[in-house]
Amino acid sequence: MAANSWKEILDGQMPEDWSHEIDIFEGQMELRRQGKLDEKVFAETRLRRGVYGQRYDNGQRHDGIQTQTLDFPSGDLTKGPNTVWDAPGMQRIKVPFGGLTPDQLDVLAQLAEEYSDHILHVTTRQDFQLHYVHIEDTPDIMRRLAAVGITTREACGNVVRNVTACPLAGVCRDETFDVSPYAKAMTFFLLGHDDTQDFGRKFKVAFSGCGDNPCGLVKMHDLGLLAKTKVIDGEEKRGFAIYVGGGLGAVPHQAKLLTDFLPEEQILPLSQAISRVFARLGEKKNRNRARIKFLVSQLGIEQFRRLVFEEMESLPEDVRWTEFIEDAHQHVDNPLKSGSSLNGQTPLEGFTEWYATNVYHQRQAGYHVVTINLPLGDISSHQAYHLADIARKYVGDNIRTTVEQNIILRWVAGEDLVALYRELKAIGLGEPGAGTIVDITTCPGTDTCKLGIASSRGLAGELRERLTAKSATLPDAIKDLKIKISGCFNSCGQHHVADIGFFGNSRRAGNYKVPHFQVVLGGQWDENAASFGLAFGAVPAKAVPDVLDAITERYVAERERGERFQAWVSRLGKAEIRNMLEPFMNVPDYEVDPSFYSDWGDSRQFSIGDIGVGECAGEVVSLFSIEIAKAESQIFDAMIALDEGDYQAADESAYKAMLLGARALIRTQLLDVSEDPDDIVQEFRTRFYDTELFYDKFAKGKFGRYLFARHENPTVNPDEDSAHRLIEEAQLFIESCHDTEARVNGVIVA
Amino acid sequence: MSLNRISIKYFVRRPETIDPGDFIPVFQKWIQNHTVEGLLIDVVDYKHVYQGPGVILIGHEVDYAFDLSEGRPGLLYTRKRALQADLRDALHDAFRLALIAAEKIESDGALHGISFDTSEVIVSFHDRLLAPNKPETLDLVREDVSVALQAIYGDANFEIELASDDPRHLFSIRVVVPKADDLPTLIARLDAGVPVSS
Repeated sequence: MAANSWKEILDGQMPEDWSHEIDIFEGQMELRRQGKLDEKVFAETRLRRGVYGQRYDNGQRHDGIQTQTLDFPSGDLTKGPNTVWDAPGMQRIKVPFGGLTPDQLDVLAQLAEEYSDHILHVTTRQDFQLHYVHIEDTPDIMRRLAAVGITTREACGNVVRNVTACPLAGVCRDETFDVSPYAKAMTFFLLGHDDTQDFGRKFKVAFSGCGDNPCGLVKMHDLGLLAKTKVIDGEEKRGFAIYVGGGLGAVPHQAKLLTDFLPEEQILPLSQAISRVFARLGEKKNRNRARIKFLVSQLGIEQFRRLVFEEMESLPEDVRWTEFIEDAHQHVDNPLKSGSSLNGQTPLEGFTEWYATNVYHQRQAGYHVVTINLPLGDISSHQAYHLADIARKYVGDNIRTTVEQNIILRWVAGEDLVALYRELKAIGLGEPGAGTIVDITTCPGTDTCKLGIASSRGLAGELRERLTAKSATLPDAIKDLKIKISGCFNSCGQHHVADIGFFGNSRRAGNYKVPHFQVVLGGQWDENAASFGLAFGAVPAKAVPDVLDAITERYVAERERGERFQAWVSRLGKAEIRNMLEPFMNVPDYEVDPSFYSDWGDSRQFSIGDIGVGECAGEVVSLFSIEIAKAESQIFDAMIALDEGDYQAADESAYKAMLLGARALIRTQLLDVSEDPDDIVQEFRTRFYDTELFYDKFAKGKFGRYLFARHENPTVNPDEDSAHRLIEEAQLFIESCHDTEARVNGVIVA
Repeated sequence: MSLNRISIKYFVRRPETIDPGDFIPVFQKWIQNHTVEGLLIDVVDYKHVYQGPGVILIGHEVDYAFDLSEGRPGLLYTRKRALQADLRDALHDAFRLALIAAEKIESDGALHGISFDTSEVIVSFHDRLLAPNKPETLDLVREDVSVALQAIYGDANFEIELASDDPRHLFSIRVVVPKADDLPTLIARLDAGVPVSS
């Protein structure tokens, strides 16, 4: 007869401390049910177990006509502020450096079938996510994962998130050395460490094996470690270049070099010291400025460096700092089979195309890495079972997830490639195009994320389908371009580091809201995300496929020999790019084409919430539209100045753009506002900031404070970094002006 | 035996004529109009996943999906939370709601004459703790399932077998009813009857 509970059946199979932690979490759930644990405290508690909220968990959903109250049986019981207990949520599952075994994949598939929607979703941090999970199922999910060596601890919340690493680590042809054991050591050193429990915000760590390729993306992380060697006293020593304070988010920051070589035995104490400095000096009250990038920016890298190394000197000795090193040096993967050659086998239909894009030759002769190109990062439970069997047959435990939302099989013997392709194809996982323009990265967007504005997954699905349909005829020049899409400005889809990025927003057209995407061009994925793209303007969501065609066709037609996309964007110039996009920016009247008023993959009329009707809307919108256009024009001037290297002018134009945006908003209430910056800021503060009319539901007053900060503290000798950042801030400020105007003046359809 | 998580799948006839994307507006309409019982929350589109879960109408107690798994599209009704403690009643209830949903789909003009084959149904139990996928579990539930099927199919003969012998899979039963009645007849029979455990 079956056991009574998973706790009972798995007793002894879970690490004791993990099992105990899950029991504690279950106890906290009961306390919360009884009202004996504060909802905010419980919210952070569950987040630290990877139990995340999901869209509509406030108990309301707009059905396209009206907002419906979702009457969950738990009534008023909440699992956090405005978060209903019974509302489905998301379970994030940490997979350190993406390393996975077939047995773990089996369990993940089983959990998806029993508690979720039969889908395993791979994230841009090499995690898995299960969606539509009920909180009361989460302890058993955690137990079943713990029994196969997976913890969800600190998958969310203000803690160290999943430590990522280049998925090719250990087999890469260009790496300095295999960073996998270092990523693993840091994962478990920082997991639950006393010094990582008091952050104001999350903290993301990444490892990369080389400087040229993008796989680790260390320059966009809170802490990035880049493998290096150095000859010291005649002996080659392993170590890392250390980067800190990078991050995407609403306003991306390039990480700063903390030190160009740190010996391997110091990386754990350094991470501990950084954690202490971040916990001690990082912002705690204003979550919008609480990431370590703001602290590094505020202190300056010199001061930050001094504090960290002073802190490191004061740390009590810990054996864990060095005990992993011997293992790290001896670490080797265990291939299941002997290396061999592909030669002499009869190719299958489609094999050549798949081989060209999905197969990477390892530095170990006779072995290959095969990338399984997952559409939108999704794999079904049935596919996962089959994939686990395929892995057992060909590669054993050598599976990894990637930050591009794919799965790879490492150590595939050459002679197995044809058979492997056949088996992958049979389960729909043999699609070519990995790492090419069809392999689009996207965040969850409005599908499940509470912050999503537009449907990034819907758009990604549409673009993928269209690009796949014409993949055979796509010009070589665009095949390797990266497209990345976020549902809002927060950049979970990493749009800033794509050749062509999009992030969701909305615009008002008449009395309706229309889903839009900002077009972000010129980001750099290579060299560990060495530079960020800029937004060139918002186009309706339904126009994006045509915009993509226009951009790529022009690139193909006009690129110079060997000219890469980023260089072409730079050469074309911002004015010309804007000209190219402008014809797509118009929204047809609702009566002419209502499809523009729904998002991709969603038949509902687009909505961002419940906004009432304003009778004077038409007139006011007209005035606002004219005024806000001036702000958008000014921001464009800022981008041109940045392009030309005139950072002072870029800074001033971005600031003026914010003033114009604020003034446009003020003039919806007070026509006679002067053009004096002090007056504008004062009126804006009084009318829109202090009243919280300008407040974004989630970002609160953050975007308003961008204006105040620049107004009160003009940038002294702006450089490229600061000018770039101010332009990003000004764009967000103007986006927020649009949102505020729609919110305050109302639209017929919310 | 108390099993809360049960799914019922009826396959469609002529699946090649159906665009799964057509289910998105249909399910959105079900939310707007409270077309079926229970709290309905959202529609999820997974039609990009090869032989995946298709398009799902997510509810609190129940999910409805136009499911594409195993390359055999059909309506998948999944009971996630218990309405009935008794397995017979739970199965009766699950069949009733699955059939009602199937009938609503058949009668929806937006789905272009879609129809379901009532002669084959897959019943799955989403609980590996109580119902591991092995012959012994089938022995445990066979009588309850048979009673529930008799309430739906009347005197028609039916065959029951394990749908998969892979122990990792959900415990699933394939039911084949060679001479099955059509949907309205099955629903009428269920409506005329009483809960099977009474």
